[in-house]
Amino acid sequence: MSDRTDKIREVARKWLADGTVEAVVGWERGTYGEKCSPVLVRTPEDTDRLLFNDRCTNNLMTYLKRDPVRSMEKVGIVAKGCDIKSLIGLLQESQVEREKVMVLAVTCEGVKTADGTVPVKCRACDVKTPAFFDEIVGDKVASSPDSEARFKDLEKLDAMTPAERNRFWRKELDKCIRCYACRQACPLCICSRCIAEKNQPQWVETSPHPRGNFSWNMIRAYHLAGRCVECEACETACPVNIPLMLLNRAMARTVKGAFDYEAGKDPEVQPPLRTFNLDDDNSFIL
Amino acid sequence: MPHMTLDRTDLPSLAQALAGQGRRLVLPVREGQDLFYREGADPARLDLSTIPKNSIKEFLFPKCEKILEYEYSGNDVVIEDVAPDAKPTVIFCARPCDAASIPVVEPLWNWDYKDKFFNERREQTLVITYSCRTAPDEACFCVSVGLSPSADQGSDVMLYGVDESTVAVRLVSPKGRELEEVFSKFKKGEVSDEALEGFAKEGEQSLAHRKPLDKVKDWLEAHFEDPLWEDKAFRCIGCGTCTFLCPTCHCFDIQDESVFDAGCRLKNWDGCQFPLFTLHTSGHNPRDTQPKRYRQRIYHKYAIYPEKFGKTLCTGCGRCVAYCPVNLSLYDVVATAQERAEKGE
Repeated sequence: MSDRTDKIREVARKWLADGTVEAVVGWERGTYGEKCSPVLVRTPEDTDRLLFNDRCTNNLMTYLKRDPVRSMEKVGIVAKGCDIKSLIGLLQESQVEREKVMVLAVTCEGVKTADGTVPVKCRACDVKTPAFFDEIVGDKVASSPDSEARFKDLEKLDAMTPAERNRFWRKELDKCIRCYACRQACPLCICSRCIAEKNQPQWVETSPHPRGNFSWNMIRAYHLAGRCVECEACETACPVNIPLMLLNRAMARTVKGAFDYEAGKDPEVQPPLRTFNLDDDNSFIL
Repeated sequence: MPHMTLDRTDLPSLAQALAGQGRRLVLPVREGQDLFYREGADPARLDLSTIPKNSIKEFLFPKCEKILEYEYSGNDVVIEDVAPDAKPTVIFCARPCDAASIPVVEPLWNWDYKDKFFNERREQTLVITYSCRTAPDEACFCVSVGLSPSADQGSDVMLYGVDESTVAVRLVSPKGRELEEVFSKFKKGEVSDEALEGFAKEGEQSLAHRKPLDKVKDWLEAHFEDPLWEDKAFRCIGCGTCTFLCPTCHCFDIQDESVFDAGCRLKNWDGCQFPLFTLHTSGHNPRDTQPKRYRQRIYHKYAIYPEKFGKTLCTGCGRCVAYCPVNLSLYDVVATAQERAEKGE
């Protein structure tokens, strides 16, 4: 892994020295446990702060939607394959201009969560060696996605009756405190003013009571249907441990079944819920 | 003066006995990889392995609370007061940093207005604190804000796990001393004052690497504009986890929710890390960038609140350090301020 760190620094240094980019977003050593932390490097000298290891869990693409990165002419961004999937989503939706971003891809053997376990996204990963980048570092890592991993946890929900499922979600969503950490961490929650913050009319009740919490969590999930790239940033950020990925993966499974589409694969293809096709199946209407 | 001891295995029964007197019971239990203080949890699930992820704040200042009801009638509006939903409560095995937060925020709720919702809950809440022996998490920094792993600030009763099987009891407040009878039923032996002093010293030593933060307030007052804010807060994604998990953050939002002509007014948790928090009706936002919002949180805790109420609005629980999704550590920021103050920068 340290080899990748050296190469990331080398490329970042070159890009900053020759003016290719204004700054590079990457990871640096954190100050709590083994956590790593996002960092914005603006000078070649500062590139020694950059590193890569299996605790570089943050999806840095979320910084593309906010200042100061958003206002930069051109920015470099260090990215794992899973992070690049969100960039593809942002490109499909014209949220980021391709020529404003230099992607420094890094091959990845999988990251670990705070308690040291391997997340589902890594077990199901099909982009250990990214294919979309400006420059890539690290030895090639073969992807061997565990095809069961993604939807395995949904089985327990599938086995429930609607009433049981309702009770399950009622208990989980009761925990929600409406901090919106899920939204803030998500690289694809792109609205400059979220529907949860619109009050004329008040579409979503902002109170953390059961009705408000159902409204918020449902609309968040629906807005990501066919868009979510399953980076798990929302679930990782959630301070009350709501299993948000169950909702996201249920959406992904439905979209896959209905449109044979998976998010974050091809920047040239439009996500199904953004397009209209005369050949679309209309049988559910009639 | 000697203190009674009881068997650690009796803690769930003790919790039950305290709750049995018509009180709702709150205690830390494990849910997945984290602990949470939960109301109504089975005392047999009591878990003291580390500091819970939530604070005890929600039992005194709930995340959503109805404060009045209203109904339109022609051109008039009829407003009905709502009694606080306050019940006798025992918080069993709170951590010292959580218990300590109560006296920290009390002046806020009793400053220009006496908040009956907080006060009535406070009045009816007993805080039985389980002292940390050594710092339970590497994020802990209670000693930096004048507390310690065995601090009794805000506690009615202190419990000390003096060894693997024994828990010593110290009745701290008048409310706590009234419980002597309940505790006595579980009495197994006694322990001296000196033993507890040694226990306390061990706790403090476990945090010897943490700096005192006594110069932070003066430094902040002179460095409202400083590159530090942009540099540190670049990574802040404005998620508000720090404010919501914090035992002392207390900002709230007021929402009116109605169906046709009748509705209620709710007091909901809010946080200074959100752009909407300071957005004016005109469209102007005095804290229009995340570094400004991040700076505000530090100022409120370490300069503004101490200026107004004479207390630091932080008990060093470390949740904002441990659970920040981007590892933006409040301790690192204030320790940097302290260092720069010491160097005269």
